[in-house]
Amino acid sequence: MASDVKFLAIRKGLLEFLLLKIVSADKVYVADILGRLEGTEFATQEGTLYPLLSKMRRESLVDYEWRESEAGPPRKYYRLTAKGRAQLAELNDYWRHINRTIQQLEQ
Amino acid sequence: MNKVTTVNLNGRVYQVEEQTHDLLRAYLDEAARMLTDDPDCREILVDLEQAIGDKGARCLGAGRDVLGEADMKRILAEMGPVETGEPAAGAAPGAGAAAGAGSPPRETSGPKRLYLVKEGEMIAGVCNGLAAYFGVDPTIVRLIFVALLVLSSGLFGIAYLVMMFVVPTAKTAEERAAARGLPFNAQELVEQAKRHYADVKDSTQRWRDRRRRAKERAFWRPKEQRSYEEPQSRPFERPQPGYGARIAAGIVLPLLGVISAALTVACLVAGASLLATVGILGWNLPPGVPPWVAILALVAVFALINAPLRAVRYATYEALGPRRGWFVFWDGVLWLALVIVAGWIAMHHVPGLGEFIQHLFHDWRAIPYEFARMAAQRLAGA
Repeated sequence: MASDVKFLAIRKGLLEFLLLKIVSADKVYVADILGRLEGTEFATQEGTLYPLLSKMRRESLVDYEWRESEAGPPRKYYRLTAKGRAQLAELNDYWRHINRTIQQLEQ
Repeated sequence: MNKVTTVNLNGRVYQVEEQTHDLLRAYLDEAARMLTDDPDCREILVDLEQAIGDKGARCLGAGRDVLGEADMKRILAEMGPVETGEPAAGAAPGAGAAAGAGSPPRETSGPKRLYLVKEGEMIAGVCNGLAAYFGVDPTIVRLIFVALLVLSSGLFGIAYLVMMFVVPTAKTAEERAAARGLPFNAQELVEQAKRHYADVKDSTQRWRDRRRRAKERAFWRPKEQRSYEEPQSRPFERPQPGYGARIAAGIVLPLLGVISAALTVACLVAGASLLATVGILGWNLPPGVPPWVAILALVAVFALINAPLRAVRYATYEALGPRRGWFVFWDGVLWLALVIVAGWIAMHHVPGLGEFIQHLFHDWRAIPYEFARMAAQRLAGA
């Protein structure tokens, strides 16, 4: 059931929200993000994540800086911008609001 | 025995079997195709390469120094298909690693339409547009046009004027492609669009980024802070104009505005006075020259004088750098205001003009008849 197209659409729509949440906690590297999502129903892959992060950077929601890694070339570490934080707060509120509405409709 | 080749994934060098290389190539090609509309396409491809490289590094070591086909298949399956928000045309949704996904055949020619083409135009881009439409050199079309103009004793000038107003201008990249009948999604065009995007949008964004970063560094960043900028993914760097150039542009622009506004008003006044009195401000046309030829000549002279002015103007806009949007807007407002003021002065101080304009406003419906009458008079006189 969880592989239904409708469920897929919901998960896709929420992915950006989740990224904002994960990035807000700490400066993170793409592998960290993938690790956090792994095993959840939002498990995702680089092929999806990089274009999405790049879009969010263009919208000034996230920013990145280069950091040396122990092995190999430097890595991009992402963090939220002020705009990203504002959007996360809005989304959190909105999410709570939606949940309330759904619960009220169930009663 | 398998042939081994070397690949360079964002600075890391790997030895791979040939089939592995083909798999990788197919994945990256598919990714590039999915990202053709993404302004950060190059950067994302570099990110993907680096991620593949990281995964590859984990596979190797301890007695293994060649990436095999199975390794690459697993790595690419882990990477997942490249997806953007909007599904690209013909993308296979949910296809596993790009292994078998063949790209659909592309259009080889696009729709063709006649447009005014403003890149390299002489007057309004009519000849240029025709040249693009027929796929010939604009100069040839212009020569033919001039020949026809002479042969038809000027009648083709009217055709030009009509086309100038009737034919739409090719404004978007898509329309410019249609003007030449090129396929819009041809690779070259995509590149062109990307260049354009990099020039206009990204330079504004980068300018902001850089200014903010400079501020951050100045206040509290230590020196070892790495630049976020990644040279190989930002190839279209535009030099930042200096303050001197911007100040000069700020002085030159209003001056140019005054000159160009005066010129426009002069041209309009001359045209109006030509219509009203069959002569320019008291100077009568030589006998045998019909007024519309004089008007065409007037327009041509105006275009000739205006062309270099316009060129300087655009060059000045360039000098303003990425933040030119508002300068250009206010320059336009200033120009309009100057035209209105100059027009008002002209109307009150040039004899005959005020009456003519009033006459125009009073019974504009009679103008076609007036013209017909004038033409009939001319013909009868000739």
